[in-house]
Amino acid sequence: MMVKLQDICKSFGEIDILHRISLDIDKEEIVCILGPSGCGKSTLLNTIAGLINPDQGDIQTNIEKIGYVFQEDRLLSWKTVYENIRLVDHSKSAEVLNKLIEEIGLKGFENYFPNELSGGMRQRCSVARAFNYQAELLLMDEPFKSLDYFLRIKMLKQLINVWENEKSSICFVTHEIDEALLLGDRVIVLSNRPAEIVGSFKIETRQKDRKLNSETLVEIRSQIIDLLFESGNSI
Amino acid sequence: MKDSSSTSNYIKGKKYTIISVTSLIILWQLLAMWINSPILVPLPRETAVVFYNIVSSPFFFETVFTTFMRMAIGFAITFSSAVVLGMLAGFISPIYYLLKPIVTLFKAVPTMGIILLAIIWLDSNVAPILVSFMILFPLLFQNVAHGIQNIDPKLIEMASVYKISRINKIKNIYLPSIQSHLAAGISTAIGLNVRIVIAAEVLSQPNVSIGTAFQIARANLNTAGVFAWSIIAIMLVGLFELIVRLLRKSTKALD
Repeated sequence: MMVKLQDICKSFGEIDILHRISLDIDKEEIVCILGPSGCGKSTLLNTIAGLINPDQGDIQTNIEKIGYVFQEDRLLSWKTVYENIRLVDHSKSAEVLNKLIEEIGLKGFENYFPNELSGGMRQRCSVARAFNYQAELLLMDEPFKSLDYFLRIKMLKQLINVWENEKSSICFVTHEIDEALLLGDRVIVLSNRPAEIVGSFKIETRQKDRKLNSETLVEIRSQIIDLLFESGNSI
Repeated sequence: MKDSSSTSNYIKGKKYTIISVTSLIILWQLLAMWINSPILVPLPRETAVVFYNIVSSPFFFETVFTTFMRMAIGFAITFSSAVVLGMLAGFISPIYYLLKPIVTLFKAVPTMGIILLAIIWLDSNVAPILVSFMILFPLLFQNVAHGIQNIDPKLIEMASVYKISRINKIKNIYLPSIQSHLAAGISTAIGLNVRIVIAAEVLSQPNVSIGTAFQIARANLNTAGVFAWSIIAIMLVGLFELIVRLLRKSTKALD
């Protein structure tokens, strides 16, 4: 176990955001948190990252390096792709960084500035920066939210490619069922605000071998949809 | 493609500068001919002759160098203190609120009042440096402090998640972020610095200075001399801007 959340509650003023969330994230595991927009998924990630403190509950962790891919790319506009990726760890050789850049699909754009890239490329750069940090746990907050469906699936495949080499644990937040099904070793379903865990699904198939129309994924997908409607969600 | 278009823009820019300067000289010539009084407006040709005489005189280099050094020292002291205090004020709000009344005071006191006080308090050679500091400090300080205060908090949050060291944060996030604010401030400050140091010299009358040369020309009703020294002052502004540009380039190269 790398992170253990026990009965986490969080409110902002009168508004309850998280309600008794308990969750474990294991080594080299990808946990996808699935829930409707505005249910408190980002708050949950920020709590794990230590950016906000829970009102109640306990977080146990034995990790030191947490990477975070935010909803926005948060790149430095005055630095090139290469410099942005290198920012979080200066110790890597150029060869290692170039390999990472190639894996994430940014080969040839090393010397471009963020404003010269498309939204998808900027997010790829942000993902590469997170992997360069060699975090034990990588938090990803709907990183491909602004991209169209096909580009999102392509980006997920690239993410899986890089993850196969780096093997850090990932906590991936999304409101897209297909993203969760393709990526997660476990899919945790949250209710509407205040977010509560209403379901958890384990997917055994290796990420690279998954197909959205496979029997298992179709079945899980259907159960997730039922669960979301039962708990008053519409996503 | 990018290079050729920026070169053509550069040439176009230069072309318009030449047209503008030529028009100004023609206008000056016409005005001088119309007024027909060299004490009020000398002809450009007369000014050029006086300019040549000043530049070829044995005291020219010493005069310009002495004033230039006063400007450079004043600017360096002001710039470094404004960057340090401005960054501290940007990071720590109590420091900002402690310094704010002083900055407001510096801004509110009339330039002439500052010059007269500096002459009373200090030696005439040093007074222009204090004047330079008191006038330029508020401008640069506020540019730096506001630059720091306006940095995107999301970038700072990103840096703290990735545990980027304080030095790297300053080097990679804070300094580049304030660069645009500071660049605008520096450009204004350079022109202002030349004007106020010379103004302070006109009143404090150090032994060797452009200000003193201005005063002597005025006392002798040598308007062409005042015009010629003004042109030299404009050239000094250009020289300052060039030095700052070169310094910026060399710091970028060091990165």
